[in-house]
Amino acid sequence: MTSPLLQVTDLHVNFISRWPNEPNIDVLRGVCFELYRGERVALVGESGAGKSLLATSIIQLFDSSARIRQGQVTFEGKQLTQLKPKQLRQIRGRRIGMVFQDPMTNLNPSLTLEQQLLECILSHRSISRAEARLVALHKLRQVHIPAPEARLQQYPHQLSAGQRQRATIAMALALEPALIIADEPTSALDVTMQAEVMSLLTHLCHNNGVALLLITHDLSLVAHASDRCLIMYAGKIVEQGPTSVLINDAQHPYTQGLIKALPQMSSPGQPLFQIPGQMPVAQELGNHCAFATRCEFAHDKCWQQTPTMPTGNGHRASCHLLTPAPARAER
Amino acid sequence: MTPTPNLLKISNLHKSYQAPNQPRHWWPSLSNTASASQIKAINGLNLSIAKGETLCVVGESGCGKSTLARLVMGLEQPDQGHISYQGNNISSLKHKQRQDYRQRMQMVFQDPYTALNPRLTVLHALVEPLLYHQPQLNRQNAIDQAMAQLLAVGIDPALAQRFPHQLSGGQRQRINIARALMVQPEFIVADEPLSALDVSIQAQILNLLAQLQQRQQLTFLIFSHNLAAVEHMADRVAVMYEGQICEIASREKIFNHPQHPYTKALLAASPQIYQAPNAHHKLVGDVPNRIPTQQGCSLQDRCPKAFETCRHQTPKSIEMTTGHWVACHLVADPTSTDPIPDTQVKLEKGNHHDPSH
Repeated sequence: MTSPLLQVTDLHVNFISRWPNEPNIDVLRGVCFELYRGERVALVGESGAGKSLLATSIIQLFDSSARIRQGQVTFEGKQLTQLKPKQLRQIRGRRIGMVFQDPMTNLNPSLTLEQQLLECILSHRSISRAEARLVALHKLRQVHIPAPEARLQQYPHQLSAGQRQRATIAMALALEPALIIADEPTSALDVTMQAEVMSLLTHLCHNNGVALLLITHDLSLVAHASDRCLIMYAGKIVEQGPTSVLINDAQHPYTQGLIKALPQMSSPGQPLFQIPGQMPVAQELGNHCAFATRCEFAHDKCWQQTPTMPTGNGHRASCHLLTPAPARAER
Repeated sequence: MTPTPNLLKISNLHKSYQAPNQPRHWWPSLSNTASASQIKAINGLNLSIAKGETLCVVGESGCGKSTLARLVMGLEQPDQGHISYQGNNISSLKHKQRQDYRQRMQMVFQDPYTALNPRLTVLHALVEPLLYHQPQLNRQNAIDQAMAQLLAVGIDPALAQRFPHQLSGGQRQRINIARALMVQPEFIVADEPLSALDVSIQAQILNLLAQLQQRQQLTFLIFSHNLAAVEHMADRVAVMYEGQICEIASREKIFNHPQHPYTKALLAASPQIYQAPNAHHKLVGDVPNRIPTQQGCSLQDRCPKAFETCRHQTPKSIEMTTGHWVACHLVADPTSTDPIPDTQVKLEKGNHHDPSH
């Protein structure tokens, strides 16, 4: 068994409270997962679940008030939590690329594409500007941007939304990283552009052997674009497994709810299934299952102790309904 | 086809904007008014909505959806064509009549985060339109109505004194809907009401809209690019491209028997949880910038099945079956057309992979 490319163990991240008498509250509450070379992993959850915080915690790009309280992030054998800022900068961009949600706000509007792409390449590799320009052109061609020579001279506002997002993918791929983290890469795009960006992203990663961590709130988007799926709820991973197995046989009531709430899952005109209530905020989480407040199958045990994730490699979920299995969730 | 008379009828609507990089000259006769500097947002659009139905307009961004919403609301004046509401042309309404019209017709905006004034409490935001349209109303009476409306959209009236930043995205979108309903409108225009929301919140809002429609006999005009949601809620679907309706039909016909290549491409691009994506109907390239320099069908550069006629002739909308209108040369003349059968459509670009693996 090969060692994982990225291993996150028992990661707790909290935000330091502004007031001295308020406790710091964990927003990520013990996240564990691993990601292997060339694997496409989807991280799915509602907004507020901590998906983006997890992504930024891996490369410590988070807000200055956030802090890793406990846990380890191991990437290519290095402990990222132990690295000095300078060493960390050599990993960000070079070994781990990042694609953000809104391509308009993460490209610099006052620099041309050439300036931005070359800045990214030259800060990590000691090659000449002319060579770097060739690399940039090659990457723009890979993401199907028409007339890349002309595009290099343009500013982000001169590109369409789809082209902008493809340019950020080119930038993330420019240094041939081992892992790309894409945080909601298509939420700002149309369906047609979404389909194009998704197929581009997943297949470029596949062809170049790059691992992909894809963050989204739409399960149907990743159903055919990921190998493995992690479902996140209130700062924890509640279910994980191979995507095809997970969507066909969801174990956790939350995952079942996410699938049932999709409009295509009920016939037109019929009311949709809805998960009642909303995700609890970090302050309200007690010593019980975080989903108990919204779960239709919650029983005494759910209110008494927090379920744990079984160890193993396959499809597994942290839910009291599954462990001794007296009463399994009806689907 | 429709048993009830049309509530809203749009005929041959045109609206164009000046291209931003070619500013108008201060002296009218010197300004470049050639069609090349004009962006045609709406280009000869016809549409009618019956009372009590839900019409969903789908299309990519840049196809003119938001312009159409603004024209229907009377926030923009059309260059040409008519929008008539119950037989009255809305662009010729006088101030007093326009106020009455606006009371009967309300809008729900796309982004619940920016559509609410951050400095007004929920209660204040709800009462304001009511007191504007009915200034003689007693304040206490208005507050009671606002509280009742909050209950109707499933918000705890205890939240009435909160400010928008203290609410979640789903709650804000409910407040937006409640605000639109405050003046008892009969017609609601919603511009992408779901796109800023999570899947579970989306289900709540979809159910709410369906309930409200049943209870209050509302007519909905909904703009969206979320096809799964459209399939769930629409009675009829209009597919819009380049400021025109390229296909319009009942929901069953659009989703089960789409005719226009653009409709097929949109359906194929929509992610499905249990079905692998279909690459056969993929479009090529981006939405063009609408400065008309060429003749023929507006989809010709992106359509995988474009042929000779498409290059020099604009397709006319024809009725395939009752109520199913399509504007495409492939459909108009099935004998000479479809040079490549569906199964063998070669993609000009992007065929370097098979999306199913």
